Amino acid sequence: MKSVYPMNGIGLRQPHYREFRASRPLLGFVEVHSENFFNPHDAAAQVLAAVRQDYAVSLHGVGLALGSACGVDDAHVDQLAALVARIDPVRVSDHACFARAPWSQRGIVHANDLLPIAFTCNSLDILCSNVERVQERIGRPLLVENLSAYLDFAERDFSEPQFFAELGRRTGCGLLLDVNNLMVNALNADDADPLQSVCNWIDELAGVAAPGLVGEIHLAGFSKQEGLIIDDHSSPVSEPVWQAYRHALKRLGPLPTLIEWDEHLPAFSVLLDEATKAEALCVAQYAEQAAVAGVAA
Amino acid sequence: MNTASRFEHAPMSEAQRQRELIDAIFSLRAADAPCAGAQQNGARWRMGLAAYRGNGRAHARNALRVQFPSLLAMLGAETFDALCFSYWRACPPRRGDLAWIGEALPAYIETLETLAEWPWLADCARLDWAVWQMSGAPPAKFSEDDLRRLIDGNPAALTLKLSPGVHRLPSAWPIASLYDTHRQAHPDWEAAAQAIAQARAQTAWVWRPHGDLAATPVVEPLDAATDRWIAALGAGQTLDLALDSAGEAFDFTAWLERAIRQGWLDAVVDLHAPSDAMGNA
Repeated sequence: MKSVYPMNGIGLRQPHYREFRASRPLLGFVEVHSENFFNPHDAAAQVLAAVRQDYAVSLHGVGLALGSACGVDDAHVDQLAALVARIDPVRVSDHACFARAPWSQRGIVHANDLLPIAFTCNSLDILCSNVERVQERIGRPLLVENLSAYLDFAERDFSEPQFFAELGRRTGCGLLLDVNNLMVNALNADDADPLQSVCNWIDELAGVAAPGLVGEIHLAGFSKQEGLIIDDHSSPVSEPVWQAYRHALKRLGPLPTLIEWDEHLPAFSVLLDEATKAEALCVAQYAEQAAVAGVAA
Repeated sequence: MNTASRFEHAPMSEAQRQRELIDAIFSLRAADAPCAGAQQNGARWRMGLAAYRGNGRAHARNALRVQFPSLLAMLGAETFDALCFSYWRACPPRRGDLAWIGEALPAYIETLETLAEWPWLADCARLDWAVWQMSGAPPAKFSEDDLRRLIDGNPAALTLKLSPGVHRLPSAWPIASLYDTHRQAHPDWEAAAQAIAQARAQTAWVWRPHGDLAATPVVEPLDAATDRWIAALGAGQTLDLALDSAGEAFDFTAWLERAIRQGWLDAVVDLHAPSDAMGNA
């Protein structure tokens, strides 16, 4: 389906498959979790192949564990490479996290979670090595997403924006900028002005990153659980995150943007409304840039 | 980049840092002492660690509920979730793909004294896992050439290679009946209890319906003759020996017709032809 202008997308989850196929909404892309489609023989693979005929697909992984000091799992990378070859996605992404490590007498375990990495030189070396290995295997650059982290490490050699700028410079990968994750981190850090903290983060990134580093933006909702803000993608994008998103568009320019919703899935129309709202903000930013360019000319 | 580390402690390797956090997440020890290098301590450390422990457990539970539906029905949600949590700790995931998280659950159940009162549970879990595996099995490759080879060939040289989408699971318990009972809207609990009380052994035959990717794999009990036949094929026996194993009660023609229709066969292999014999290895 050729769209008029949309560049934004939604996360396509199993309960929405039927309605998605029936309504064929106007979207720039759909995102799916890579691991859910590793098996080429199951029903989900058939659904994705059909979706791919009409839409660009962004593959978003949660299991590579790119920051793991013990390395990435070759079998996992092979399965991702096979999926990439089958689907020819518009983008491939995963997270700046670790999950694999030797534990007790059990060998290497996988936490099936996005565990925080330190922003140190050593950690950057590990991440670069793993990212390069994956990129070589899949034959294309990755986007690496900034985390929402519930714990972090005092030892650091870089600020987080510097860390991603350096990662991109050394490996050629891009950044998947999750604005909601920035807000979750700012809230959990008890920052006096979380929105300002997020805007400062984006400003710093814009100052240190090579042009074009950010390849996609993620927006999502969060919840408060037992004293912490949890990035559970269970609710509409919050107003402060929308404000931070507007700021990101101003500083970085319009970018493909995904609405993520994984828990307590809403009616499909609600998800589309969120994507439409993001689209309107991108269009407004385009218009503003065009007006500025016109004035300058 | 900062010219000097702002870390107050001695720098530590990332490998060590990661091992310590993994240990804090999976181990049973109290969460009071933060792992080395963590920025947070006290209550804030415990909250952060609890968030990661909670995420890991929730991911495991959600995946295991999908992979073991009849076990979930047998145990009830509360007991099943408790089992998931203890399994997650005792047998931490090894892969980043949650589709494999349940691989070791049946064997883990056998180690639990708390479930020893229900000795059929491990095999019921094996059956759930077989169904889950078959739901993503590759299609059979059986072709007209295979059929021709079967018609023209020597039964003393041929064998049938079963499709990757079928699985034979023998048990000392009536696992196919229990599976069926726990999938019914109005289960016949009395019949299930009776079958267990009689310790009726069953071999479950699990197969993925041919050409319907969305269909749930079928589970049915095998009669004794068909069970012997499929076991012999699985062991790579030639058709004549497999038929001898099955005995006179086995209706080969009826079985073959159904096997071809349902996609149970992958190939007809001539064990005397070197390339075929290797392919069946």
